[in-house]
Amino acid sequence: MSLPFIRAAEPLPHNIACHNIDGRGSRYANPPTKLVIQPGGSRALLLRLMWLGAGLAFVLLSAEKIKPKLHFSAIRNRGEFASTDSYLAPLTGVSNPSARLLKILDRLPQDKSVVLVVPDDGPRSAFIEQNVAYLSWPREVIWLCANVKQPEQALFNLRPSSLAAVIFWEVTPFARLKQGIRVGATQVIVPLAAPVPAQ
Amino acid sequence: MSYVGLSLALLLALAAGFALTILLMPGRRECNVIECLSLAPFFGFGMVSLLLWIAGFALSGVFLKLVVTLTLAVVILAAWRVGKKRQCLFIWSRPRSVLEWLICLVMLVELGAIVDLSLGRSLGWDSSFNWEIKARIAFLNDGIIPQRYYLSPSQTATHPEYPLFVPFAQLWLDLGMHRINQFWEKIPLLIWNCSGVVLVALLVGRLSGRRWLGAVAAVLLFFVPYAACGAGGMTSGYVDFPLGIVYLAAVGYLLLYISTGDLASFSLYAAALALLPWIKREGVVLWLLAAICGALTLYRSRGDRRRWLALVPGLLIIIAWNVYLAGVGAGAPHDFMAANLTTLSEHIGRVGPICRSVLRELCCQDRWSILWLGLALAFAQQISQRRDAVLLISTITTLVPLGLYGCAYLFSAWPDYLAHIHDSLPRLLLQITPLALLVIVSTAGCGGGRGAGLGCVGAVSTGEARPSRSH
Repeated sequence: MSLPFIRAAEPLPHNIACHNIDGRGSRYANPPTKLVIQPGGSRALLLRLMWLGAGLAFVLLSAEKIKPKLHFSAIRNRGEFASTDSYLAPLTGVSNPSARLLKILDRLPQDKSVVLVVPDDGPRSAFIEQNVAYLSWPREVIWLCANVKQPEQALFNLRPSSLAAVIFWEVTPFARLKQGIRVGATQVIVPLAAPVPAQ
Repeated sequence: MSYVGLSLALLLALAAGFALTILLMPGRRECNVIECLSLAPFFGFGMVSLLLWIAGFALSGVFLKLVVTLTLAVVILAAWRVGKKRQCLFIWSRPRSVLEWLICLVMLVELGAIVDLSLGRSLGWDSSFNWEIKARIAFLNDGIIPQRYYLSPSQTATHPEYPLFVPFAQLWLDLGMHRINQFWEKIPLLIWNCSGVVLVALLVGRLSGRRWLGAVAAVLLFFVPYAACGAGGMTSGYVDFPLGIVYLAAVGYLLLYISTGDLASFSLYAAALALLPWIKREGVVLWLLAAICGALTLYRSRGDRRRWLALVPGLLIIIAWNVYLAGVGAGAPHDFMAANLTTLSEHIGRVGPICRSVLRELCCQDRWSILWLGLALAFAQQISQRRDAVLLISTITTLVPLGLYGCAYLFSAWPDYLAHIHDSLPRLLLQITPLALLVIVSTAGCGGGRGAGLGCVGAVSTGEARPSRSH
């Protein structure tokens, strides 16, 4: 088998070859043709060698970077909440966290907000808030940090009739809201509104 | 039942995409099945998402599904009739040499790896909270995204201003399944990625005149670390790689049109161009550049004036989407400030750090290996050998986005704009990666002859490499 780049460097009678752009000869009704000027000489050979070296370096360098990241596994349907579960399971320490949260949230009125009490306003809390906002839709999520002054007071300053539930995430539930439903190791939902009948 | 629904929804979208591809190739009797199959997922889901969005203004629920299904069926029937009238021949282009067979085999292994890695992982962050969430919200609201979503303060982080190509492609599958399933919603992205790899092979093969080179380019794509395994790469469910593929298709078919004058290539360029702003917000930048190249080509060729209409669909989509966003009261993007002279003068001091960050990113071997060095070498070789329309187009479409994306961070609203660059620039670069690879492989494969390199097919039409000049 002769490699194309070696074949192309051979001297040709007129240094010109005519190809169909798909290389399929006369099967085109109007074959679009192209002129390829076959390179010759030492400059072209050097260029080809340079590209060959660059290509090899690219593949070898990349293989080194990619290899540790390739983790093949058996393909299986990870379920309705494949993605949110993969985010929430490590945070909650339970299986099917999305379904557990939704089971409680689905019973709450949709026109009221959910308050999420998180330890701080860091990126981890933002990550949690995004997940909760995803699952709580169409309820609005109000984000409350536990590290502010008097967080309990901040919560009770909100109009209670507009709230569906309070979720304490990695925060101990406030004294006045102890009657919650535990959904994870450190996650408690306290429903504030009466459950709506199932549709 | 849900699997039957999922399969039907998927098949219908792909069949409609295949049909649209045939309709977009006027006068071409011979249709390359692989070409049609690799374009079908983009055009099919593009059509589905646009139909769901447009029909959603008047319909919802079962009626919405019915109207979209009927429209897709009409497109399929129309293509069938046109194909029959045109006496279309469907061709499978098979590898012709041992080398081609070997490279294709490696490519198949690579596609298998993409499938396994994609389905073995859950949707990435952006994929879940920028795209899939909209599909979920629309599904829970009878196929329509309610105005409430655009006004919701707790959903501002989900980029309500992003267009609906991905969410509505996922919604179509959800509507077929009658349920939301985050696992199956990754399927459209997986299909786009796999067909993207094939499209790279096809376009590089055509533009370089050597099919084995096309297959090599497709294989090399998997060796770009960020594209293969990165947080925003092919296996994460992000849309930047598919966007890059559609951009490659637009530019690639334009180059083919310049080279051969083939009308079908121009139509495919127009279709890919129209899709760009519908895929992602950054698609507007890519649309603009590809449209400028198209306009330059049309101006230079002084051909049929009706071909200028090719630029209209994309422009209409951009205008319609922005009017819609204004209508529903969606807020401005929160990660960028308004691009005006005041902001520019305030942030002019960012130029140096931004340039350094962009350069550092381009040199980051962990993510890109030596891809961008290869691009620089390819351009150096091209510039030394030819200065023509093809070089101009490849420069505008490959290098200008790098500059524009860098400039965008002058208007970053992040308190730490360097963190913004670190977070999002790799994904932006991924959008140009397929095209960069096309430039590199075509240049490398065509060697050092005059008129060789990317779009060496262009030498015929531009008349810049005549036989007499090669001696």
